[in-house]
Amino acid sequence: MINLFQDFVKKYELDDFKKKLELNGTTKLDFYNELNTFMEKVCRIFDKLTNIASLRGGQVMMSIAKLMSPDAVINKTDIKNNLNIDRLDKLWHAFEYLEKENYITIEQKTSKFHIVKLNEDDNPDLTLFREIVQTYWESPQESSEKTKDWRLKE
Amino acid sequence: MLKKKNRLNFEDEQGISNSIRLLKSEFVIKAVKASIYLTIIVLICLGYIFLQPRMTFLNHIHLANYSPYSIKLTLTVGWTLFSSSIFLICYLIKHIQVRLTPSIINYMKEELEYLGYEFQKKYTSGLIFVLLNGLSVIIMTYIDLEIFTFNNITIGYLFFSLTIPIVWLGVNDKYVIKIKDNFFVLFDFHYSLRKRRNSSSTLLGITLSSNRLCSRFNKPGKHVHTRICEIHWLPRTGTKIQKISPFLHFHEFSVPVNLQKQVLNVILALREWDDDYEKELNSFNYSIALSPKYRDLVSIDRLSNFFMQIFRI
Repeated sequence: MINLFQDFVKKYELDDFKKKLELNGTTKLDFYNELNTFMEKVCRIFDKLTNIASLRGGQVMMSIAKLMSPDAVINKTDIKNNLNIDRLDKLWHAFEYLEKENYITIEQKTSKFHIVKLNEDDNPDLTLFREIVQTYWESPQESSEKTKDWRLKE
Repeated sequence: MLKKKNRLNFEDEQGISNSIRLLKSEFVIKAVKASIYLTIIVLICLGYIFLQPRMTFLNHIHLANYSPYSIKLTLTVGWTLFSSSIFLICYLIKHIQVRLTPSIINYMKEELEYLGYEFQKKYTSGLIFVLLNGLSVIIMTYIDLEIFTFNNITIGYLFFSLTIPIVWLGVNDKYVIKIKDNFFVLFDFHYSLRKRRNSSSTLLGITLSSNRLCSRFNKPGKHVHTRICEIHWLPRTGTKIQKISPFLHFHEFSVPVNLQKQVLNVILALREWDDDYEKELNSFNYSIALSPKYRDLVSIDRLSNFFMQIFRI
């Protein structure tokens, strides 16, 4: 198993611009699997890092990224459910902080209905973040469902 | 039911400092109560030691008013008092050492209930003590009645009837959530009462440990354990006792704010273990069947698994 990105580059000679990258059959499959493994690891790093800080800001950002799609309308309760958190007040400080730092935008439709989005216009890196999270991150809600299925299985 | 003002909140700086203040005050009350009970027990023991020669009524208990027999129960009363006092002292010391207060228990109950698990107290040492010491008291009564005398076996039994519940109390009496048959997660709660020199915050942590998975000498088990620990970022070793344990467990460290997430992480690791261990074991056994030089290894594994089944907690 390759652990370093440099080893990955070396293995497929990605930094050798004189050679052509020829992938076929199992080589292509290996390449794709290894790239996937790297992305999974990157996503796991996001997940762990966002759990270290005392604020839930990182997790809220991951949840928004996970739920975001062109036609999706995400409100605060969706994020609470996605993070498998019992009370919305646990996320107030995170929303407040992320909005202040310009990482997210909150559009108040009514006093109780707020639409939340990642601020990708001001932070273009968040587009890649969203893509990685959407593809590779398992949200706490999904993890919880997974454990429930396992408990019910004999 | 706890009042709403006693609800712990670890979501912001103010909430954390208020919660820690509340936990400290509850812990002090708990420690004072336990110390009072400890003092009462010590006073009763001392009182018995000093007054014992004069307490003839305890030494001679008449079975009935008209009975011609009088029974000397010096050893029985002495042993009952001695063993109960020692066990209660250890129990109270453990009670002080385990820094769980009503608020934090309530907080953890709420957090884990939302995940669908019941936070239970698993204190079985008291039952073990009553069972083992019940027999000790019968033995002592027979010795008092001069039906039989002390020998090495009775002394050995008396020693173990007291030490086994105390060791059990120290190692196995914990709070737990049961996940499914043979799978559970144990909780150790700790916080420092004193402020650290270089930090303004007080450490407040929860160590989570899974049930025993397999023996440390189980090669396929160790392989699966290492892989799952790597994927889930689980630390390889837990508390000091678990470091010298001959069995493998999953461990995780949590603070109140990420308790749910970390508990979920351990449960997912257990789920993966449940799925992968059998497969790994089968492929390992197949490879062993092909190469006879590993037969000794299998017998060690089987022996350790047999003992694990016997002493499964």
